[in-house]
Amino acid sequence: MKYLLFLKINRYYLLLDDNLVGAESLKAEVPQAKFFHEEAFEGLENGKLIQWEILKDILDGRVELEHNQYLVCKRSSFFVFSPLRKGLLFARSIPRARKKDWILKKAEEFGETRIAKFEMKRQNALSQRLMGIREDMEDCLEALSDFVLCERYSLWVYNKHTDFFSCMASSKAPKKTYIEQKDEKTFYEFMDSGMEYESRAPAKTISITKGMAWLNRLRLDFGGDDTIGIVSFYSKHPNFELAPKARRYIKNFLELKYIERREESQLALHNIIKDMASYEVGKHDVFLNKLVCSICRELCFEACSIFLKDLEGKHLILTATCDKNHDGPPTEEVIYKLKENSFTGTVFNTGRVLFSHALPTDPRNKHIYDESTEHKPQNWIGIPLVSDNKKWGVLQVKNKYRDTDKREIKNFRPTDFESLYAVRTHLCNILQIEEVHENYVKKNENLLLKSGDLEQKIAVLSNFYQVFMHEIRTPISTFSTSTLVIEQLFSSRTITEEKRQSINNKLDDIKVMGERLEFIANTYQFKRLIRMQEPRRLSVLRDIVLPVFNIAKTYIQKQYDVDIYYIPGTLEDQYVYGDQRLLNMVFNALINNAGKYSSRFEKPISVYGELDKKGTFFYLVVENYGFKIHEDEKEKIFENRYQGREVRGQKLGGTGIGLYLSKEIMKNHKGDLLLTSLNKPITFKIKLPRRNMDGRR
Amino acid sequence: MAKVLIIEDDVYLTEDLKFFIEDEGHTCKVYRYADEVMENLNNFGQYDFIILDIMIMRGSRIRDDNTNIETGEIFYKEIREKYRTKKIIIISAKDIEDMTIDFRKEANVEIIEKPLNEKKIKRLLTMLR
Repeated sequence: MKYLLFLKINRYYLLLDDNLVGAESLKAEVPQAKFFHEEAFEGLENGKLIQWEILKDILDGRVELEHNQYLVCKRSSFFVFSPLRKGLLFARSIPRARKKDWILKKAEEFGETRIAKFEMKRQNALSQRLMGIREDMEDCLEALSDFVLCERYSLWVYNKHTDFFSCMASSKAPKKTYIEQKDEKTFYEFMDSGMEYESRAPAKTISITKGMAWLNRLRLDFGGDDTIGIVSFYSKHPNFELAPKARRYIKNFLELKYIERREESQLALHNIIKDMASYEVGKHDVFLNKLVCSICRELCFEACSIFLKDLEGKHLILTATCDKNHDGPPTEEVIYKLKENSFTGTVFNTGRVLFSHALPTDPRNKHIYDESTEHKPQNWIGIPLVSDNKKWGVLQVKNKYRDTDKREIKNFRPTDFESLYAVRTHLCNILQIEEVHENYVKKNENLLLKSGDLEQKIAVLSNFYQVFMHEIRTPISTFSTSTLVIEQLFSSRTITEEKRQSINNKLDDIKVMGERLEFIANTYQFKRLIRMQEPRRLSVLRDIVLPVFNIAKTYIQKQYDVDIYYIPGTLEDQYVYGDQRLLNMVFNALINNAGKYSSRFEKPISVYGELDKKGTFFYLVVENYGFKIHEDEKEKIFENRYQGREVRGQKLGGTGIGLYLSKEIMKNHKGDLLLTSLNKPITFKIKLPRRNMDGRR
Repeated sequence: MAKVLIIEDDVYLTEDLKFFIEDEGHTCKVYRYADEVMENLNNFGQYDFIILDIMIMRGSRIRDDNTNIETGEIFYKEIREKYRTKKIIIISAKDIEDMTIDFRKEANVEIIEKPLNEKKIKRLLTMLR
């Protein structure tokens, strides 16, 4: 007996005949002839007897009918037509109704078993294909597209850094692999509408929609940073809408896949940062050479260069470059005049990120120096090295590629920008440290040449340099060891929950140290020390206390096992006048001393504010319960290189400069630094003017 | 596999060192404070290696007012008195020349200067093998 079984798929019925097994090449097995729109089956009732002429009409003559009449078995997701011999239902031996029920039951059983088998094979085929795929988004999409019986597919990812959509995968290679708003509005409209799913006829005929009658479009949300993807499946059949279950599956799968790939790019970033940790003060040439190479290697660019501005700030000089012929040090002298119009120069002058997806046709593409790449120049990103309103130079990369069997040039992804921004932050920190170092060396030389009146300044600089080096030692060491730990943890085959936790902890450490380093680099500036900036009105809490709390709290708790807090209500809405960087430095010195010297004393460090009687000054108070200060040391403690007897006796380290420097800074502020209690608690008060003492407001 | 003792007060550094050492299959104990070190001196025989930081806070048990000598140097003397051939790895941020003991001339001593980096950690791990 030959049943005719039709499985409902989307708004169609698919003829499941014996040729259709649901194996890997399912799509190839399903010619158009086997699809019937649901409208054709309308009005067919369960249990109805249907003559072959009518059924032939319904099936549009596309299915060969071997019997004269069929009994309709209708279920929610399928139809079975059971052939009947003429007169069977009228046989006398069995009552007609019972006979009919029996035939329907058999038909239903057949339908369910056959469909279950088909679905299982179809699901298995999909799983096998997806499991075998590690890297390629293209293969994943092809498997998913086959699974939902669509003919074509594409996946475009929105890059918020460029406001472009880049093509990640497509069954028909598009003419342009990126789309901007003027090219194709429907992507932007769909993204802005906030809709999750769209199903309609294609709007216009381009190569991918040619011969396609229907488009299914799904929105994908990749992780927490608002990266959005749009996946499209095209079908030859009009109204071929995807079932909600299939949509959910596709969405979940692709979102997860993308996050997996993002983890890979994070790993790449870790490798770069790990390389950055080998930085040694005063050797930035070696460091930059190594950095450009590791950016090329880890982020898959064919070339990467760093340009730094010269001393007068009029030229950009090629400092490090990695491409087909270089592995760091440039072999020729390349200098950009900043006035000339060039891609690199524009990045520096405007302080804005520039990029190009199509260098050959880009009218802005003017380079004096062109790195040699394996492929023709295709795409390019230039990032200004800027921090704290200071311009250092430009970091640029060219030709993003994908390393499969054959290296192909690809569009950059949002993660490329994020990785480059992270590298930029670290790089600027280091350039800042480097500048401070160079200035120190230079000034020291200059100052030593002239003698006498400048001796004082030399002393200040030399002191300052020691404090600075002391401050950066732990962060630099943590950068180097913690990144190694992460690398080691990542290198194991399986990442257990415990390891994941360790990685997170180490990342937290690196973050804490990064923030510390950034703070130090921003705060500890020689020039401020020598010539104080014009006093500005500062919020005590926002500008002085919180920046230091942010970098010190976690560090002090972990390193010295001491808690630190400020008393609410005493600092809010208080304003003073001064140079924020210098006041940060003073407050940071007091907090760090308090932490270091009250390690294991168990009583927390407290910070609060109070006003003097006349209301002219505000006191920022730091109290700790650490080692006492002796009565006879009350003044000495502020002398250069003096360390308290208790602290000295305990060999607690330190430079003996911090308090001296802080007192000097506070005197320059028309304020003061006072020691008001010597033991339990030890109390330091930063005396800050509430009015602008220079007479300027 | 070796039993290793780390005497070091920098939490960030000890965490990472401990990780690397244990990752190589060794067991590892950490003392952060001088008092712990002095209390447990008699049990140091069990360790194959002692990694010793030189600049550590004195604590309450050491009665040496000579501030020219670092806490780690006092530990070193104490350990050497009891365990003459114990392998000791000195890690120090202070210049080795500026110390009262010339560690370069001591037997069974290795020196690694701070700050640690990948190369130095690998060197340290090779010593433990």
